[in-house]
Amino acid sequence: MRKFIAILVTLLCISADYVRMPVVQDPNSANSKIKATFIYNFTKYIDWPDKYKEGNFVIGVIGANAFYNELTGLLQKKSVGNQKFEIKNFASEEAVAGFCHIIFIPAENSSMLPDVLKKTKGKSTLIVTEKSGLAKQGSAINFIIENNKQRFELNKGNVEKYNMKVSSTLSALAIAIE
Amino acid sequence: MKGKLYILSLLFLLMLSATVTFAQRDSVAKATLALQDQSLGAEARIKKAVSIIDRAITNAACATDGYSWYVRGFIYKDWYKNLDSQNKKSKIRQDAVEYLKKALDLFKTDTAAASKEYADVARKTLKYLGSTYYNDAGAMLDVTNYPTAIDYYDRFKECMLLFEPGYKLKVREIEFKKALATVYEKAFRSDIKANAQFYGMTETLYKQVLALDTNDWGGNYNLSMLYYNYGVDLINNMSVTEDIVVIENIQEDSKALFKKALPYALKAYALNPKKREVLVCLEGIYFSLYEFDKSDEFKGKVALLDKEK
Repeated sequence: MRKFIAILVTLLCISADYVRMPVVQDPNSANSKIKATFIYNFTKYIDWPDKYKEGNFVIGVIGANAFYNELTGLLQKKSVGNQKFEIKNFASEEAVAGFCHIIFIPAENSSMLPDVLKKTKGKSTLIVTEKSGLAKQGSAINFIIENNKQRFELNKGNVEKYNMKVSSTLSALAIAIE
Repeated sequence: MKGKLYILSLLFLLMLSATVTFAQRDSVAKATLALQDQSLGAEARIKKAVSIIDRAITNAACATDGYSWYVRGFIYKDWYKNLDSQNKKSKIRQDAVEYLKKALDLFKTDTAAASKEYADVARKTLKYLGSTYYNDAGAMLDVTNYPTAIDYYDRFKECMLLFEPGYKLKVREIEFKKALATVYEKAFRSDIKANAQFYGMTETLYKQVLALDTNDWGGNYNLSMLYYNYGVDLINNMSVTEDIVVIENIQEDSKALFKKALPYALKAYALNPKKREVLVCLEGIYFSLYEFDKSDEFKGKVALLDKEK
């Protein structure tokens, strides 16, 4: 019987063949999603004058920025009431043309804020920025990071002076800037 | 006269019993001879041996005889090895293990010197069968077959502990748990809502790995990735039309997950600072926590590492 002793098999290394290394997900897309969702909510909680409630709802993004593509992808099939979203990309503040309901100035283009304000003067355009201090320099809403979360500052005065109305819900969730 | 007759009857019964026992032992011997019969092909030889031993084991004396079960287990092992080893769900292998276990059980009360030798061979055979279970468990680690993989891994452990009660399973335990965790994680991430139960199952396995070896790089890295990717998933799966109050809650949940991921990623980094994966992971975690300076620091380390290569 001994000569039948089993030939021992080698234990295969499971880790080499079967353990897969998880792939790190891109954090940029998640952050873009949060900002896009906030921007969508701004359209719900801010009331534009009646004459701006026709045609497309236009959002302009200043400068070559990945966020433009993200925003287009996320909002292109959505609408505000009967208004379809139209996302425009302006290479610079100089290129801002026509009317926008919202203009988003990414952090790296923050220096363009004064010129954008000049371009939009007298129009009900909501200026959204994302650099510390800009809500005091003319933007209506400014994204900030607080306590490891994306939040936003609201300068109600900069909204209302262009004939837009802010709902109390939005005010309650915002960090108020005067 | 009456007494003499009684003694003669008793002697006759004893002789008869010895003859029957011998005949039963003879059947077992015939089975082993059949297994060695080179005039037959492998399949015929094994089937003949199986037929003889299966018949022999139905006798009461063989049913309680360790050697008979040992031979049966051995023949079944040969049957599996030669004719059924490609069948990952082999019933023959399972039977071989059961028969060898039964033999070992019966050998415990058998004081004959030969029994110890047979028990030794039975244990080595169990080791062989256990190894095949382990390899098949690895091959069956996927979203569909993982319950069988777990069953086979348990059988592997049982066989190895029968082979040697002090057999060190730690390395295999870690290896298998990590592999199984990646299967659970894949199931979870394929649909985080419908397969939510797999999240906890994955987390438990990685924590078990780290309880076995706190310095296991893969355990630390994979657990950090489980938390991090789940945090990102919560945000990415959110509808862009979600209400502003819900965004707050989702951000809070994601932040908690990113914070949970961080210590495990840092541990993996401490264990191996040159692993690109963990540098990218830390870059992502810090970015998600909006700690951009630290995120950039690890981004720089990734770039440096890529440059070195």
